[in-house]
Amino acid sequence: MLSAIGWKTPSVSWLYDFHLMNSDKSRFPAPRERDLLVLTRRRHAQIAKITLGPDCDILIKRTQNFMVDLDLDWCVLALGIDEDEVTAYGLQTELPENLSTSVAGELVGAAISAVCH
Amino acid sequence: LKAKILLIGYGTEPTLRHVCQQAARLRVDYDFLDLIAVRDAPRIRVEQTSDDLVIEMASRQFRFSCFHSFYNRCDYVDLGQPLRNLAVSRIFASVSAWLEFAGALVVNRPSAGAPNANKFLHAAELQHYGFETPEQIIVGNRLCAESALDAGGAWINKSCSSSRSIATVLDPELWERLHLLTNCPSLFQRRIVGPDVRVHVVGGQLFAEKIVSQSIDYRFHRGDTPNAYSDCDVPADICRLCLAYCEMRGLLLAGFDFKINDYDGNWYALEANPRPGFEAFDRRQGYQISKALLSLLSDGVTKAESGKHQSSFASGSNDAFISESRRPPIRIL
Repeated sequence: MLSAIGWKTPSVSWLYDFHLMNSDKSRFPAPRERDLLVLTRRRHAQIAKITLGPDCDILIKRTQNFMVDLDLDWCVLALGIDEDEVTAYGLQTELPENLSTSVAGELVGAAISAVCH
Repeated sequence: LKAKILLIGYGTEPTLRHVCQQAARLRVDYDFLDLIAVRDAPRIRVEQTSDDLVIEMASRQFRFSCFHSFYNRCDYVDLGQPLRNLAVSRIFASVSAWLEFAGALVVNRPSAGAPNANKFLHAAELQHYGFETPEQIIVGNRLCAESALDAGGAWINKSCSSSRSIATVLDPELWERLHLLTNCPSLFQRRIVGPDVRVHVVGGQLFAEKIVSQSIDYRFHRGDTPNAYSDCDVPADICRLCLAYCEMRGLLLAGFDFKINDYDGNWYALEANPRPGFEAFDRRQGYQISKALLSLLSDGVTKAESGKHQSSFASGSNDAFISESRRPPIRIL
């Protein structure tokens, strides 16, 4: 979906080895910096406030149009930034478990609150 | 040379097995991603990029960008081993994501059939689009059920989700289980007495068959008198509604279930199944359905798709209202 919107997305590879009974997930490119972008249908806020280029404004608007089509009120977009290139790593409509109990989780909550009011 | 069609699902599943047999018989250019291989494969790799999905297992590689059309019956199945289940989940998620947004022809995109997962809303949606549907109610406790329903044979009970269940009349025996509704709400529909009709829509073509059964749910008939199947003419307005609904939902294949009311002859829509099991209908109807499906997939043009994207528990028991005996086994493993 993110790719269809126009975001640059990473290659993700999952490997399951049933002899060794393990699995591995790898992503390329790996992000140098990370940010979370909280979107409502009309507004958005970032957690780390990394500067995004003007191209991202268009992509954010297109993502919000998609949200309307999908009947989403809000979502969180995981971004990776490397050498001014922004990659979208995932879109969630609920907070990851490890975030919801952390300081970052509180920040996400604050951002949601900020964009909702 | 690129294979044109990719069939996705479990080779042990009757409908997909039937489609594979028909594709081979008709010499259709196809390949088959048989997910049953997940059970025994020593190694599986799934690679997702912005413009492709690659799945490698059992010495085979499937590069999705190489296919022009897809017939998807991929689903999650419990293989009884956590790591293999994880692999099935990943394949299911990746295949669903790819098929939802692929430029190729897909029968059907995951979102096209999504409303069917909630039978109450699905029936309300069918009614909204012009079909006549039976009165329905979802009930989650005994008192509500007792005030709204009766055990005189006027109500049918079925699962309100996409989980399969055997539809049953609400009789005194089932009435005794009403206290279990607090464990899980259930769907009740006003009983329509009369024959069933299954209408398969494939692209713009309709294939209909009437079923006269002594059972409430003809699919699980166990009586002495076998079901009687016959050709059936579909009223023009019902044809129009079926085609319009499929176009609106982006469904290229659907199985509509109707009841024809003995009392007034009206057609009541029960559901539009986005992944119908049609092999038995196909055999009786001279393989017209599979032929139409394979033709659609072979000629697949993206533009042909409309593709609109559109508690408390009962004391003393954790049993569900719909008993185990009414939950047919999944015929995959």
